[in-house]
Amino acid sequence: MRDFLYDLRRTLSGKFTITMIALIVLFTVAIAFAAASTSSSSGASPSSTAYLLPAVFDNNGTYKVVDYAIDGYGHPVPNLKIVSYMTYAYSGTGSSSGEVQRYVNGTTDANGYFNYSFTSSASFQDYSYNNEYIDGINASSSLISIVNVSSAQNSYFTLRSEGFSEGSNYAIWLYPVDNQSNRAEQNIVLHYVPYSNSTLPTMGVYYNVTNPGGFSFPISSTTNMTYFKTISGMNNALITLPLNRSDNNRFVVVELFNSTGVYVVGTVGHFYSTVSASSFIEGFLQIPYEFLIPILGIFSAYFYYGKDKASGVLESIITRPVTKGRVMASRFTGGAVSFLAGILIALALADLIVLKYTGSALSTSSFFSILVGYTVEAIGFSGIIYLVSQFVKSQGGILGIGIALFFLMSLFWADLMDVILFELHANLAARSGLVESIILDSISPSYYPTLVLTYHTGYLFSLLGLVGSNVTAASVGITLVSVAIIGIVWVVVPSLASFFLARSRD
Amino acid sequence: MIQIQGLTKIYRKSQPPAVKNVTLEINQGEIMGFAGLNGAGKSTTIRIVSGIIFPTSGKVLVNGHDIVREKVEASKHIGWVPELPNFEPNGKAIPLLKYYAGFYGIGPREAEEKAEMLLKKFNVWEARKRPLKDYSQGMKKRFSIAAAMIGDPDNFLFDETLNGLDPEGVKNMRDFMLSLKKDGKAVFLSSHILSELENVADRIAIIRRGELIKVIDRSELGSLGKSSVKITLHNSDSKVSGILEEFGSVEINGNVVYIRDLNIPQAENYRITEALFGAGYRVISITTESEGLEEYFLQLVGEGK
Ligand SMILES: Nc1ncnc2c1ncn2[C@@H]1O[C@H](COP(=O)(O)OP(=O)(O)O)[C@@H](O)[C@H]1O
Ligand SMILES: [Mg+2]
Repeated sequence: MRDFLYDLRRTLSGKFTITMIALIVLFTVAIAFAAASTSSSSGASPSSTAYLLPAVFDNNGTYKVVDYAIDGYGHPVPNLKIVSYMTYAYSGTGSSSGEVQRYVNGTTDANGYFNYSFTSSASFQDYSYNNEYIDGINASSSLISIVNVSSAQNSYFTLRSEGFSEGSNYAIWLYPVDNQSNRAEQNIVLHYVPYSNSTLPTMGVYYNVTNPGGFSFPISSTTNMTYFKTISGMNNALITLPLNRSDNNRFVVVELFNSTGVYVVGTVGHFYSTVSASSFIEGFLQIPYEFLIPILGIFSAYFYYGKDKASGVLESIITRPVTKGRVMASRFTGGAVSFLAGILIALALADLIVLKYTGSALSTSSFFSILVGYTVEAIGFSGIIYLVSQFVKSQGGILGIGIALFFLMSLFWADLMDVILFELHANLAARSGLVESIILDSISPSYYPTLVLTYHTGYLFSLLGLVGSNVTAASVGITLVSVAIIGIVWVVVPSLASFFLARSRD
Repeated sequence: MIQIQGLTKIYRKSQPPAVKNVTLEINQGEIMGFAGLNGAGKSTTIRIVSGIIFPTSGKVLVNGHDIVREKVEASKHIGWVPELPNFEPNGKAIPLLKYYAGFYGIGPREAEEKAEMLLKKFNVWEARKRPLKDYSQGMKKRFSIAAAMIGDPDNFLFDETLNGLDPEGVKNMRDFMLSLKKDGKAVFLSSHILSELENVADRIAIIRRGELIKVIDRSELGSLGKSSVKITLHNSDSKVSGILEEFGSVEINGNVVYIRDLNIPQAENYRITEALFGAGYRVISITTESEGLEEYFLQLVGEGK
């Protein structure tokens, strides 16, 4: 045992192990950065995106449009070219009935405002505008209208949407934007537009964290809401709610109530990314790891053991007070521990990077599933090469088989099994066909990460193109027991077989 | 002490055993030569003793420990210098020796000192910073001896170690082996050239096609190699063989008579002449031809003879 531990320690502190761990970590961190930094939902950076928050007043035929432009973080956007118009409908006789449009075009000033007024005896009904601009260019798919609530004079306009409220002498916006220091978290822009100079009267800010689909909006009383703070005396403010990680992926209703407790305006934001870190990380790791993990498993077994065994270098060690079996076992264990360490560190860093960019972190069980899946895959591939090394006596032979296995059991495995299933006339629409395909796929360690994640999510995803089909993992035999058994088989069987062969063969 | 008992190794069932029922003991303070032609089974025997390969049957005890069943304990007492040293090509001398030393429970500091001492002793100290793949064959061999000594074992296995050395190298190596002997170590040294072992071995075991055919003591070495006598007679006939057969095997070729495998010491050759005279033959000439150790060896191990 002492000899085993000695060689294990030496294997773990060797250059190869350190290089391998560094490789896994750097590679993973690089793709995590690349994936996370480009993961913004709109595709454009919030700082180059502008949103228009308009208000429209009608005071006895004097119309006043107050446009205010903010970027994706809530900062005012100057010099934004706005093209919008007001419309009134008239009904004359014959061909003279129709719509008249009056363009409201201009550029925002240094504070992000563009004011426009005109007088008209016509009763303008709608103010139509583009809500979103990217790099100054309209990016909205359709115009949004603020609608006059009545054709009477002195009426006020309303946006038939959340986040906007207008009375006869003010308009108020609550608009969710990105938080610059935490891309996942959202701030709420409060934009108060008085008809004439004034600031926000005293308002209470209330919020309510709810599950998607599980909320009603607006909530008309403060009873079921959490009080945040009272604000007053400004025109523009950025509200950051006191939320925490447990609110991840949940929606937040934010509302203002006036000093007498009457609902004024409200909006709904999601304060953490709706992208789950687990599917995100799995998503960007999947393709690179499909290459990296088998290659690491195969090459580390070759460099730790197969190469030295075939070349005879191992003999200079075997003649020491140690047994052949234990030299094999220490090298194998050293490899397994370094895969675990490498993937653990890599995944932890990827998790931190994703958290920083999307605000969503892996749950313990997701983290563990990804870690176990890929570690077992690497160990499985390395075990196979240890086994091959017991029979193949040349370095080239071992390496050749390793490369062939990489193509066969990793890259083309699923396709190959599909061909076999096709030849077997398996009915993939039936459960039995699915089970057959899962069994066949499980013959390679490359399928193990998918197996673990399928167990973890509880559903079979995108398997054989059955996207969205509601097949539960349990219904096709993917249970804790079966997943654990397959994992143990991959870790234990090839390595134990090669251990006994190493002990008894020359 | 190395005890080889009834050792047999069969690599492939289709081939005859590489080593067949070999029994041999190498005692402390003894240098045992191991002679045999190429392919006779020397390396196979040595590799089994070193624990690299397994015997098919029979066993090897090293200081009383079975090399298969008690591998770890037995290996502590074995230092193996292979025929073709093969080390981690990118390895460096000191770290590699330290790594090996760890298996004997030698701590890093002590191992470092030991490595330095051995590398200096075997003249590879200057090359310690170079990777082993850059070593010459001779340097590899010397490093290999240092590596065999790192655990300070009681028993040494040298496989063809004298082979290919220049005369000075051979002399140094002999002196080194004699010093091991003086330190009470058991030394097992193989060679395919018997005379290489002549000046160093206390005993020489001779192996032919896997079988141990003879173990010669050092004291017997000088008188080895039988001589033959060539006699030219004036009047030879067939009765000569009857007269001379008591001295060895007789071969008559006209007037020339050979006695091979002479069974009397050379100094007593006069008895042949006397016997011939007594029977009335006239001897024109009589010459003695002595075979060297090597011819003797080749005759012993040679194929077909
Ligand atoms: N690994 C092996 N596999 C099969 N046959 C082998 C192996 N090693 C040696 N042999 C055969 O065993 C016999 C003895 O070889 P060896 O012990 O190397 O002889 P020596 O060292 O005396 O030259 C030879 O016939 C050789 O071909
Ligand atoms: Mg040999």
